[in-house]
Amino acid sequence: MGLLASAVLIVAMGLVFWRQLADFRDPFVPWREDAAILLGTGWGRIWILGMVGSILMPVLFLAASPAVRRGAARRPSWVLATVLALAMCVFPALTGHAAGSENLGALLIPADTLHVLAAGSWIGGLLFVLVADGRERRRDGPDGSLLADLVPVFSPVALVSAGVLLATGTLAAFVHVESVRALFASTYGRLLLAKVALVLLVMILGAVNWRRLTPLLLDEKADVPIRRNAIRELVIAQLVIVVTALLVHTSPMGG
Amino acid sequence: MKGEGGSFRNRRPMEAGNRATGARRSLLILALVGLITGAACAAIDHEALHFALSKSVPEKDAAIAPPGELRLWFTQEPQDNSISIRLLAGEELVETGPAVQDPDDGTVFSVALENALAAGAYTIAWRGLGQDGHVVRGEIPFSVVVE
Repeated sequence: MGLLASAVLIVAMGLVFWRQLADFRDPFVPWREDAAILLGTGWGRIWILGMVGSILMPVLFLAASPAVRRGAARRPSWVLATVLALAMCVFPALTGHAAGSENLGALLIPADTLHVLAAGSWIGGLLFVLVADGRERRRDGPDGSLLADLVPVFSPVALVSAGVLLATGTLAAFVHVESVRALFASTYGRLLLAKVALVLLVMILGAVNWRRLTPLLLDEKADVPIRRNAIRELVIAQLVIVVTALLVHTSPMGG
Repeated sequence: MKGEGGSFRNRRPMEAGNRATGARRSLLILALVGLITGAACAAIDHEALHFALSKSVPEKDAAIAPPGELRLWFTQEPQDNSISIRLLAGEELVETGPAVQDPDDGTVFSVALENALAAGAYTIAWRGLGQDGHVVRGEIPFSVVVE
């Protein structure tokens, strides 16, 4: 999973640069000159670091995988891959709205980094639970389900992540949205409202899993509904990520 | 999908009174955090948070005598070397000097005009990269009047 995710990350980083270069384009100079100017900006330097990190990531996961197969998960390459994955969470904060907030940067950059980390822990963790469970069930049949073991371990992570997401998301909204009117009148505000609505849906699904279905795992009756709900939660979370991608590309000052 | 770790297997129902007190306390903390954040954020100058044009000479839609330079003021300092200022006469690029940052104020840029502009309609097309990574661009149409 780590290897696949890091391969996707390299493609995503390439697309991020391509999109930024297309936006940055000055039709009166060659593309190469524009690319050189862009790479020389603060944004460009952070992007280069991010790209180096995302190229290193699959190398570290590859180096770590034999260790995982032997169950020796504390091997240095595994630890390094984890540290690098955590460090990559700062990339959106350093290249986005938080970095532009001059005096508030000291507050917003850590908050944005925590926001990304919490979203990754929640949604990435949920994906891991489903993939690991599916793999075991394919091997051992329905009795091999790992949900009863994994859900109680994952739940506190999801709960803390949801709290961090709410707190940091609210802070960013307060800082970036000029007024209540702008929330409805600007593209940024409307996208933010769409994101909040989708996040609420994800949280409702999460709450149903947590309060109603998780306790039923004791009787092994909740496997199917909890899995179904978790898949819905994941699908809507992907929509949240799409809206977030649009949001970070939209200037809060725009109409 | 949330739970209470392995403890849910032995969980005892929470007393109704404790639950109500806990909920009230959580709501109070939430309201306090909201109030403090709201008060702090009310004082924020949102204009200064984002890169945008604040003023230009010539001004938008101005009719002026041939200017010696174009000067643009921004709300914040753009990222290094990212400012481009082009002068267009229709679709044609008018030759100018490079965009030069004011040494005393990093938010101000000027472009020297090497030759006096003939009467007619012109557009300043500018672009910059804000500290928030947004590419911002705009156009300032103006006309030159020669008496």
